[in-house]
Amino acid sequence: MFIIKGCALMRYILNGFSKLKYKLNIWSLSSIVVILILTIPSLSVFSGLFYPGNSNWIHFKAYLLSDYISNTVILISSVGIAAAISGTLLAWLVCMYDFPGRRFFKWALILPLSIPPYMGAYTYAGIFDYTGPVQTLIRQQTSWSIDPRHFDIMSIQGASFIFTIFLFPYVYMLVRSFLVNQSSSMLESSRLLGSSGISSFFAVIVPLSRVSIAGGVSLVMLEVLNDYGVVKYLGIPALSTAIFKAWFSLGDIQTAIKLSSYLMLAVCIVLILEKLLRGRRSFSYSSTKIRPLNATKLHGLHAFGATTVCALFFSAGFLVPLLQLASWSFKTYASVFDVDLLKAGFQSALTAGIAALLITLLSIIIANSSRISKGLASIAYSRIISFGYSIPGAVIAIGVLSLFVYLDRIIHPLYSSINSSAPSLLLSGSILMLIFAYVVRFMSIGYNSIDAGFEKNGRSYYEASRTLGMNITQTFFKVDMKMLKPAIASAFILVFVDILKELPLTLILRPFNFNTLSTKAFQYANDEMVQEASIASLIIVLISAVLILLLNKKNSKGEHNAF
Amino acid sequence: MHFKIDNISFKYKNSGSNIIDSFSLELEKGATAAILGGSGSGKSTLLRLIAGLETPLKGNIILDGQTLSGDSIFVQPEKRGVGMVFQDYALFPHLTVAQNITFGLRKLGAEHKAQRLEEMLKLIELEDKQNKYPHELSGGQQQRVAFARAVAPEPSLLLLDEPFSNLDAELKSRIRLEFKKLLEKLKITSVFVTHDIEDAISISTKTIYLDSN
Repeated sequence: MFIIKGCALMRYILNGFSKLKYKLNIWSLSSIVVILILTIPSLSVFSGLFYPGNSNWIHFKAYLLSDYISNTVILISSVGIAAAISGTLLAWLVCMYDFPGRRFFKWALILPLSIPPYMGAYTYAGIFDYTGPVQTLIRQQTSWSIDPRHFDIMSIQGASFIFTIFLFPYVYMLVRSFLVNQSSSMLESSRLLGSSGISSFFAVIVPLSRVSIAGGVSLVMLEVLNDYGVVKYLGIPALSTAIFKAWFSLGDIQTAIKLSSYLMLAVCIVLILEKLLRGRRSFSYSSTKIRPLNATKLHGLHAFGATTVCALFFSAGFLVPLLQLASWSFKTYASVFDVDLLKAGFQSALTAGIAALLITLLSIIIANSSRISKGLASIAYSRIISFGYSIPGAVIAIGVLSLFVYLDRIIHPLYSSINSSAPSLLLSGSILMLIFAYVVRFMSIGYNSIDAGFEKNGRSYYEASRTLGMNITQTFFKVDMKMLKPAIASAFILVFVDILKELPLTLILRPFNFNTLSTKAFQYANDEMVQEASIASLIIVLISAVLILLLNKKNSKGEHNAF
Repeated sequence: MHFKIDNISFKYKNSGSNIIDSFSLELEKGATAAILGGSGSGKSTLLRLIAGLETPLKGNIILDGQTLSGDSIFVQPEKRGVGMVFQDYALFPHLTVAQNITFGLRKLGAEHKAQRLEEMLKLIELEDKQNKYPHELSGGQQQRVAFARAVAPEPSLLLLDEPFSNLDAELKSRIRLEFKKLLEKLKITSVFVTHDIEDAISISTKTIYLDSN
């Protein structure tokens, strides 16, 4: 009896294995391995919530933690609200009304995204400084003696201002592209029902674009949580600066992990809030008969008002900082432009290039296998990968660091038996660690681009090739990759630029004496040499601005001709 | 029997009931079977199962004495010797007509390849279009290229998914006749699915009805 049952069981198991055999292939196997490796750092940080802290942690918890948390909460909520209002308002103006400069502002309002907020902070600190142009001008031109404290950007209000003017485009872009794809009848009916102007903004636009606003605001909040450069420079104690303090001042990785797990908790709360706000209602009324929105022409004072609002945001978020950076660069290039800077530029390009190449390759492997297997695996992959981008750079850095230190402890005895003078921190002092961390953090950007490319090509070319005698790998090289070229290019460029701008992760994980353009700018600014930070900043800003414009142009081809 | 489907069943992951339930079919060499059914009846799924693009829950598929799909056996699509003409043709947009047709001939030497290409182009009467890209052809021409691409490697079985659905009525009756002639000339065993009973009557030697459950 048992023997028969045993045989049946064996057959069942064997059957299961043989079914598995044709589901598993080199693509799906390597995807599983990559995904597992990428999740280790975040899991090790999460586990930090559960183990007891040491004496440093007890000190942090008793005296400092509540300050860090309250500052972080104040920052993300104030910036979230301000960015929601300004982004939605600007998108509404640009979509619904016609006024002088509208065509220009339509794309120009995205440009503030090209300035990393920490570079914006240095610039504004210089502008509002006692010796900066604003206070000097007021002193020279008027007889007012103003309290310099009114211009103090080194405050939590100052930080909120900085974050808002450089991050509002996230909300603006999402709401705008949502409104563009709406049928005009919905908005016209609201006008016919008697609500116009401002009242239709609150009655129709805001509730309608709720999902896009929530999406944009959550991006803004995640950027604020990720930031280290702004709060550090402006001297605001927040969770991210605490992580740096624990690691760099105390050398205490356990406490750094503890703090990171708190920051991670904040990230989860933001993500959950976004889900809740989004609710079950996913608005996508793409009625087939879309008539593009008819913009109402504004006259006189109204037109002047609209242009002024747009111009203010554009100047504050892009033009003024850009001009300031340019003028400082002009002043300082003789002393700053040297071998060191060139070396930093080269190292930036090298690390960003290697990491972007790796990410693109891995994204292709994972996207291809998830497309082939369809089903649950592919959903799980994209969820796990996109979670990586929500995790602040400092947290990833701490997770990666603890992983590599652990690996070094295992490897060292092996290695020292071959070479007795081997350093004890072989991996964790190397550029390998930095590149691995970049991959964990920016994987989702590359993956989304590649995945969209596969989506666009569909499955039938792949299937046709299979029935014509090519296996998965041959099909990939002969068919998929050829058709995927544009997606591969945009994945590489997007990741490359994001890594150029990256700061917190690079600061923690870079090898000794290794500088990139962003760490160079950070160093100058924090050594009270804001003007000297300008050239490195300007290079990064210009590269990202060009890229943002190119991508925007490519994307807007897909939009309806609503403008 | 040249081709045999034995008691095959299939269910999509998210659906509750089997879309294909204990389906069987036998075909002599050179025969043409038409699978007739409305949308959602699972007729395209049946072709995908035969081609190896989906995995059946149970049942066997046997071609030329070789089991393609059965208990603990699953031959990958590229190893089955089954050709398929897709409903949307799926001609590779980055390859020319000639490159599309020779895509499945990588095992042949250059000389044989060229010879086979010539035969195929002659068969579908598109000798002058071999260096064009798919988007430069008309719908009817694209369909003929898709057909040539599928038969060029001399498959043991040809599958056609709604081969006439993208053609307008006038063209359709003419191409149907051409098709019948081509299939007879090549003496190829084939299975095609359609929702149009006239297609079935005018081409097939055997008609099977699939109703939606």
